[in-house]
Amino acid sequence: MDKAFFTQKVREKERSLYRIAVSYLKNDAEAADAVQDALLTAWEKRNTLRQTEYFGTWLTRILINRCKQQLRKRRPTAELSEQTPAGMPDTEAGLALRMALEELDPSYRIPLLLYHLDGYSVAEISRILLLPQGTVKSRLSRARAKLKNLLSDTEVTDDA
Amino acid sequence: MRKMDLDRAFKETPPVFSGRVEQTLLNLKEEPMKKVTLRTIALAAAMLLALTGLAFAAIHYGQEWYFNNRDTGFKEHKPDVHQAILDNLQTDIAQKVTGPAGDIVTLQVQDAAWLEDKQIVTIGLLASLKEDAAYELHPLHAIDTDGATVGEIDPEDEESRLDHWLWTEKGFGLPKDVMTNPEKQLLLIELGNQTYIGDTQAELPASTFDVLATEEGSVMALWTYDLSYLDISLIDSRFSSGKTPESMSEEEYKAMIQESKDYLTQLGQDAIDAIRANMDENGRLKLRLPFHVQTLKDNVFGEEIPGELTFTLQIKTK
Repeated sequence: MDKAFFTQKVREKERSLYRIAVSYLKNDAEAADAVQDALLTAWEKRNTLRQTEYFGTWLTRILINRCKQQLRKRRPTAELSEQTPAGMPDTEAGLALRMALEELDPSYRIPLLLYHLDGYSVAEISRILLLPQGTVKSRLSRARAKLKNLLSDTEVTDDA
Repeated sequence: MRKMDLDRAFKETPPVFSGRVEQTLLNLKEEPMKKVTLRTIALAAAMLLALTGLAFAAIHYGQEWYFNNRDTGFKEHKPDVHQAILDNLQTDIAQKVTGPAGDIVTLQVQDAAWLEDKQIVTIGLLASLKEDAAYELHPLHAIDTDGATVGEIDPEDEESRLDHWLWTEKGFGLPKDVMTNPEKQLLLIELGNQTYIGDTQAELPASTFDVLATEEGSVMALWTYDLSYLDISLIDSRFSSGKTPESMSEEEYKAMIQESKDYLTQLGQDAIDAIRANMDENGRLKLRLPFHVQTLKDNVFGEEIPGELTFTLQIKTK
């Protein structure tokens, strides 16, 4: 994998990387730190990725690991609930949706974002999160159900 | 659920984020980073010592050791930069540590090179305990290097665990199992913060960082900075090869690139202004590196104890 390929793929995934990182960390600066570390790790370990079609799942997995690592290093006084969430939209509808997403536990929110926004399949999410496919499906289903309750006017489909 | 609906839950990707991604991508080096473990170094050193009949010789963890053993990228792929660094190392560096962390650890710039013609700055740091009876020192980066969830057990996540693990030359596991002396208190040092110019909040740009625990019980860190980011005229050219991603319109992509350029321009200009304002008449520049130490005891992190290393480098010849 050369630098041009790596750079192109990362640029294509930038929006997704931002959403994932800020969903875990709730802070733009920390999200940028996590993504920078994840990119450096991915670049250093690029030769371990044998099939480049899995670049997206592979990089997302590295980023999630990095986000978890950063969460762990936070001091107890900096709990999530005490922080102002970053990445908040400026429209009323967007804000309501974001607040509803914030209500979801990350174990449900992240599969939802990966599936509906980033277009990953259940099998791919299974590889990213190291979860059985059945678990991914059930989490998607429960995440949708909870969002449906919170946002009665949002269209929800059960296609996974 | 519609994709557009869900994406509305997030604001536009902020320029500071895009800028960091671009900055990181631009700094990637094509050559592989060959990492030689301390165990290998120690074995090689032991063999050499046996051959020469010497009983003992401590490794000096300076940049000569680092760039010849830990990271040999310059040596193998940019020998002119490698040689220039080693030929221009500043070792007589005025420096001091302030803050309560300075009562616990000694932190020094071992050596540094400011090479404007090669557009690179390297700063080698070594931290050691002032009183080693109570503590064993390790880098904070050596904690939970696998990125697993710690503190809760998810039955469906095999990586999750309750306890923090430490990476040392003895392996990766509970601190008591991998520390050299588990009877001592584990003390972690964070050296991976930004380096600031003078008394300003302007940063030396485009940095990479590496840190390791030495077999002598100290912690070595090495910062590398890319001075080409101080050349504002190069910023446009850094983005010239970018193609519009399929997921974005051309307008969106152009706007994002412009924001990234603006971010890098501001970063570079702030650094240029700060260097001009803080360089003395002898071509010397003061830099500041905040750091902290904290314990990890019974799986709980202690309070961060802050410190700041201030040091002065010769950046222009008199």
